Amino acid sequence: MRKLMFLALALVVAVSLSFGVTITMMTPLTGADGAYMDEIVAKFNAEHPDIEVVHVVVESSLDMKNKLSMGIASKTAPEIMFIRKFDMPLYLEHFMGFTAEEWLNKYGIDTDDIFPGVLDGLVVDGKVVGIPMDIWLFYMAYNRGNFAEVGLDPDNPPKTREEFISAMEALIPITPPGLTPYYENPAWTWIWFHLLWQHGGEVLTDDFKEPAFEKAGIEVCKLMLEMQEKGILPMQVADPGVSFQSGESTVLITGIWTIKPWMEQLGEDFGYAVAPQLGNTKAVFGGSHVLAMPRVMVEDPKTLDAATTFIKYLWDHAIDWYEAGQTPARKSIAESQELKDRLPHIYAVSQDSEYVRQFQMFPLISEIEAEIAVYLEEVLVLHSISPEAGMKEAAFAVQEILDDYWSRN
Amino acid sequence: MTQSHSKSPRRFRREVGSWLFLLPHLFFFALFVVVPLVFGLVISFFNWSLLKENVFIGFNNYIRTWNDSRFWPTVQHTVIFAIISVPLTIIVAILFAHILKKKRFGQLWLLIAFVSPAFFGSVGILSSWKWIFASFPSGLANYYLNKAGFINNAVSWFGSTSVAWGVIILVTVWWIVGFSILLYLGALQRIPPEQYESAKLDGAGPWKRFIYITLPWIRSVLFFDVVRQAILAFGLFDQAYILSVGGPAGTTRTLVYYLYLVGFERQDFGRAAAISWYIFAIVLIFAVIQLVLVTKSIRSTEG
Repeated sequence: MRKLMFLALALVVAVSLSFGVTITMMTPLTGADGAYMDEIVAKFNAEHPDIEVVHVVVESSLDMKNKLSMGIASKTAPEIMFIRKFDMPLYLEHFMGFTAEEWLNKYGIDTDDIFPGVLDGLVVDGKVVGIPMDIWLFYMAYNRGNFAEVGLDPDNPPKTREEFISAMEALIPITPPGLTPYYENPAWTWIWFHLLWQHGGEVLTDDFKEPAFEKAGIEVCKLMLEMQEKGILPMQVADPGVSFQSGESTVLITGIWTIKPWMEQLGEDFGYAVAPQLGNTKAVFGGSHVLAMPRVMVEDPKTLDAATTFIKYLWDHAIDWYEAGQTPARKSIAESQELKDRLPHIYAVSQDSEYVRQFQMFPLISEIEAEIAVYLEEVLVLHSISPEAGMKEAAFAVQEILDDYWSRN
Repeated sequence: MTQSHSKSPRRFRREVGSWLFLLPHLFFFALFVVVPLVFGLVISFFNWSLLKENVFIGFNNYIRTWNDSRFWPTVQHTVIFAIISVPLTIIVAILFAHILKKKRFGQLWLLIAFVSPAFFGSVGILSSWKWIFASFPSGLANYYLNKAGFINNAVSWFGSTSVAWGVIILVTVWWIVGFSILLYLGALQRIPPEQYESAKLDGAGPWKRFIYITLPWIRSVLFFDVVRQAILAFGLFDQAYILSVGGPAGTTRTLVYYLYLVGFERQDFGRAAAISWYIFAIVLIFAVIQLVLVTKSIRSTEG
């Protein structure tokens, strides 16, 4: 009996040791891109029998933040977070960081290869606390068939404000009543931020003590109102996807993650280009998915080693990931012939990467965004106040949030 | 004296037995209601974060909430919603209960149709309604209204404050009225038909019969439902979050929506706890006012 028990115990120990280290990676990849990540994870697991990576998907940024907070507090967080950069500020001190030299010498990751704008905000006390995997840039999606129908050159889409406005005006006659050529929700905050940066503005001052968007924000609102008055942009809340897919509307300035589905659905009618510059400053809206490790979860050297091995694997197989519809965070890949040959659409759009602007790394940036949205809707949807009044009130509301934050931190 | 002594152990045993029967409920009630309630009260006095050390700040969370310019509009929105939706739901429920009380062919199917939405989960239901009230031309409501010639262009259902609230109230009443129908149906079926017959003989019309017979008979159910509806109304969140996302321009943000922003978006749990106590106070005031009004109106009919 005793021998039998000893044998069973030995078997349990042997089985548990044979699995090696299990690493959990949490991502917000609820769409088709999740399947691409699953494929990469499966390949990694097949090539690394001593490490098992488990891919956990959460529904939203909020869900991820709540789970991460709880996980850090209870030491049950995933070992790797594949997190949107603007969700990170609250946790910067809680992520494991290494100097650029350590990343390069210990793990073979050259952080100097990352676009500087993308790495901004991820360096805490000289240590890089996250490795950006990609950039999700804004680009212009358009219907080539509609362009040709009104005599616009589908191979030469608009690049400047004047070209954009006149192209949209040319498209109005073929756009069904109730729709507009550029059929987008006018109060979508990301478009407003995109145009804010193109007008030389910024959301907050560098010290995060005051709002800094009022002047440029007014200009953006005026531009959008002008487009509404001309029938280029809807006057009310709009759901753009269905109309663009059906070919009834023609243009969207939207995120790179839509490029693959649109290509598949619109076929030869689908056109893509870098987002037109509608302001006076070369800029494009973008975000990044960042690989970061909650410190409390990688204190064990074996776990840290396994987690960094997977991060390095993703770093080396980044192009596989860009197939899902993301542009590179690394200069060497963005400029590479391999990307040009394998994913020409991603290559074309990624030429804008050096101008990418991302949200400032302030912990309450999402709340600030939600508050600005209230006043954007007043100006651009309800049309109940002027751009000047709307931005003034938005600035006041944001100041209230900032004052509250700094009174407690 | 001797007799009372001999009775005491029996009485004690009987009482202990009662308490033992109550124990499972009391245990879970304490675990899931009392403990969180007390804990919620405690953390409302702290700067409470999962990532930092928690600091006692007295009534600061309550004061900051009181002074927050975003708080009072949400109180206003929620109170207006409650003032409209609570009586509306009760009226619709009584109306449908009356319809269902009469025996007719297919009554069971009608009952299922009215009642079943109350047992569906919010996300599934509200996603369907969101599709019905989509702003694009092929959204279900827009498509059929256009086909029927009522509209020429697609309506943006959540693009104006009044229409957005109209849709939220409509969906809410449709969703929650089912349980109230069941309550009133049960109460209506207990009313002796002779009372209606004699009232009819005395010349009382439908309205008088409702006021002087139906209302007093369903009084206790009505009390319960008023309080239940008030609690539900002040807990409005899912509809505003999924259908209108608090818009346009924050005009459908409710108290719980505000709590959600502070508690989950900002992760300021102390302040979120303080907001929940404000909600409790407002619900209490609202429920008491409604109960007083209902009691007065019924007493006047009885007097």
